[in-house]
Amino acid sequence: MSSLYVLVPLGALFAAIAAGFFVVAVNGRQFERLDELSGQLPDEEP
Amino acid sequence: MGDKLDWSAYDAAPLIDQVSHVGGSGGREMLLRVHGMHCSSCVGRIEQALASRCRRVQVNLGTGSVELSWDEAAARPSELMQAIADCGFRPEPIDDRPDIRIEQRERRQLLIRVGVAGVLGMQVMMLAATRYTESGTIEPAMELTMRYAQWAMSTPVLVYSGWPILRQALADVRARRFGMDVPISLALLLAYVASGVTLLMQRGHVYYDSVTMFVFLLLLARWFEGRGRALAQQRLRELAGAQPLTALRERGDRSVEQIDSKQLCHGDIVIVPPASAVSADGRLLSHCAEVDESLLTGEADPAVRCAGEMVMAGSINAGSSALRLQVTAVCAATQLSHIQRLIHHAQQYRPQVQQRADQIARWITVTVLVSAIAGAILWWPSGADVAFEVMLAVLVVTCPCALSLATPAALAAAGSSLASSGILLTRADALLQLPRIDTVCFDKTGTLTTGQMRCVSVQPADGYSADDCLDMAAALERDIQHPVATAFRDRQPTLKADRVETLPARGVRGWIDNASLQLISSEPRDRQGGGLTWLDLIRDGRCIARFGLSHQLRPDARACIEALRAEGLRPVILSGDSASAVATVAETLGITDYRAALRPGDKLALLRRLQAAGSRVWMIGDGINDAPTLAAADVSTSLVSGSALAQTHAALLLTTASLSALPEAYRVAQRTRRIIRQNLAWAALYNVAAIPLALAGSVTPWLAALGMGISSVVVVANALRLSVPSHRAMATTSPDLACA
Repeated sequence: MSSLYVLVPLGALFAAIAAGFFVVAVNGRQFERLDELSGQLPDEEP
Repeated sequence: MGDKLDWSAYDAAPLIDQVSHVGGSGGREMLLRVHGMHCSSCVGRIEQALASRCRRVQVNLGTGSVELSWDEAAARPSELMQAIADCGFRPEPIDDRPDIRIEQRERRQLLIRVGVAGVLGMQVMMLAATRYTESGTIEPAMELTMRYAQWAMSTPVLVYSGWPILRQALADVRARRFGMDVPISLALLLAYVASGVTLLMQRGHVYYDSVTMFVFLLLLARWFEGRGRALAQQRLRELAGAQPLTALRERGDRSVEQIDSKQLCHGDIVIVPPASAVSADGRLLSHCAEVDESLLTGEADPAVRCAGEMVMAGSINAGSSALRLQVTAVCAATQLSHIQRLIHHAQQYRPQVQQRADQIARWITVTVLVSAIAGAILWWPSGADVAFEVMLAVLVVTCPCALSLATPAALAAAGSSLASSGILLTRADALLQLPRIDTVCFDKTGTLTTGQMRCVSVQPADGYSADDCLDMAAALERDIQHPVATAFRDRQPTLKADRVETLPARGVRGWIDNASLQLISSEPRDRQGGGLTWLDLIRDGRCIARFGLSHQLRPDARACIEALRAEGLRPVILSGDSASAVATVAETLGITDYRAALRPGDKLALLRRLQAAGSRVWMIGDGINDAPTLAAADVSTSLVSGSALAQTHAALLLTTASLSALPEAYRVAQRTRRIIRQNLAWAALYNVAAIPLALAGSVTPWLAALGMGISSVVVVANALRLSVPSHRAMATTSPDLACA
């Protein structure tokens, strides 16, 4: 049970890190024009 | 071809400010669409070519774009574009208006707010779940730790993710109006502050789970709803972006210069290289061309245009050789700009049903506030804790978000679905009126027929040759946008007509060599008329020739009529053409109800008579003569190739050459009405059931947040069903049908 004293704050920390990654991904425009991108897959390298 | 172009037009105002802006670091920033990138080695070549002149080069292979940041003193935009062109790619600046950047940034921020609320809210819910499942078995110190963790994670959710809600509520309070964000913010702040007090005093409940779930679900519903609007906005921007900022103008000595599209004038000759967009409406001078009009019509296959035919701004040269065009309309006068204005107008418009729903939502907001206070007073004798929970539950559970989202979410989804079928919505109300229609009135020429006519008979009077008469007719019809004019397009007139004007529903008149000429429709001399449309060429009051023109029916006209009839609608033809020509078309299509030789006033009178007899009429037309009827009809549709006046009065704009979109529009409208009714019924039922339950103390705050969020998500998800095309495909189209 005492391990929870570490795990609960650690969980909160990981959640904050995950939110940070999400912010970086959105600002990097990775979630824009998702509907169209499937039709624009680049050709394979020769 | 890139190495021959002169990009210097982008170095000076106003184009430089239109395609680039001064960035945060003081340098200039520009976004380019680059055509021809296929793999990572393409990316490497561009990065290498620009590395020495730019501070930052960000190539996005997926979107085919390059973002540049550079010192203004180090390079000019034209040099950077030339560097890309030298690598074998075609750069094209993207209109970089500040309002577009702000809108994109706001959309990204909303997504971040939703994401942050989702990720942190999940953790808060997990910790809060212990309160419901392990109540009483957790050590007080552990419970305190969990509560502090919940506080730490719900604070950014409320302050950052919930900021748009709090800000709107503040604005509402300052303006002394009751928006729905007022009770929401009140509930959020009450729950958060009360939980803080409980945490400090170490007794009672905390409601951080309710706060985070409420914010997350509310923002999620708003993001879904905003997505529909964003798609419509994007389409508008794509239309705007389709018209290139520069054009290649041919000089007198046949050399080519690149200029700002706004400098183009009527009569200029422009060159459109392969894979480039056309910058102005124009008449094709090249022998033949393949143009991609998919942005306007939704039709993926390129259309073939012959010399003399019109090519619209925004179309892309899909052929392998450059095109020559003579400009007929520029900038705001182009067909594309006109359509853009119509769509913009449609997006600003709030249908009546939505206005009523918003009014009801305002009343519900007031009721919610009153009910919350009444609930608190009612439960006060049972203790302050219970009274507070009841008040919180009432505030949260009865928020009329679903009611406000019910109509706009459905209309946005239906609009997007119709756009992919080739119909642009210029008045959202039309979708709600279309299911009540019982009669469909068609104009014939250019609507049921392709708009391409052929002159198959010339009967000159004594003293005139067929060639001379055709020459005069071609000169008169040279700049006219009417299907009749297409019959004379294959002739290059040697004469020049002055002061040419259109006579609505009759023809044209003008002057050639100081003689007054009229080319007007007439009745056939024999009763049959051969199913042709007949025109008289009148010179100084005397008929000098008669022309017989044949029509080409649209390939899917019959299937469209059958599909509309299957839906229980009655097709009628209202035409200004001769009786024999209209009868031939009507017989081919199996339409028994038709009227011929109608002037604009006659069409309008007939339509009014139909309406007086109790019919609800859907008018489909394309000409200037159809404009009064389109304006008077219950629902109106015009073709994208039709006149600007007809389009202005149309609630739906058919952007594809296929009439099959009409029955599809009717079906989408029926589904839209059904879904709006379902949404409104659900929202009303939910609110009616939720208020008594919350007042009775049967709903805890977290359950209230869940119920409210789910009711909004249900409404939006139900509306999004409209984005899926209906499975009832149209009957197979008949092969090309020629009339006469």
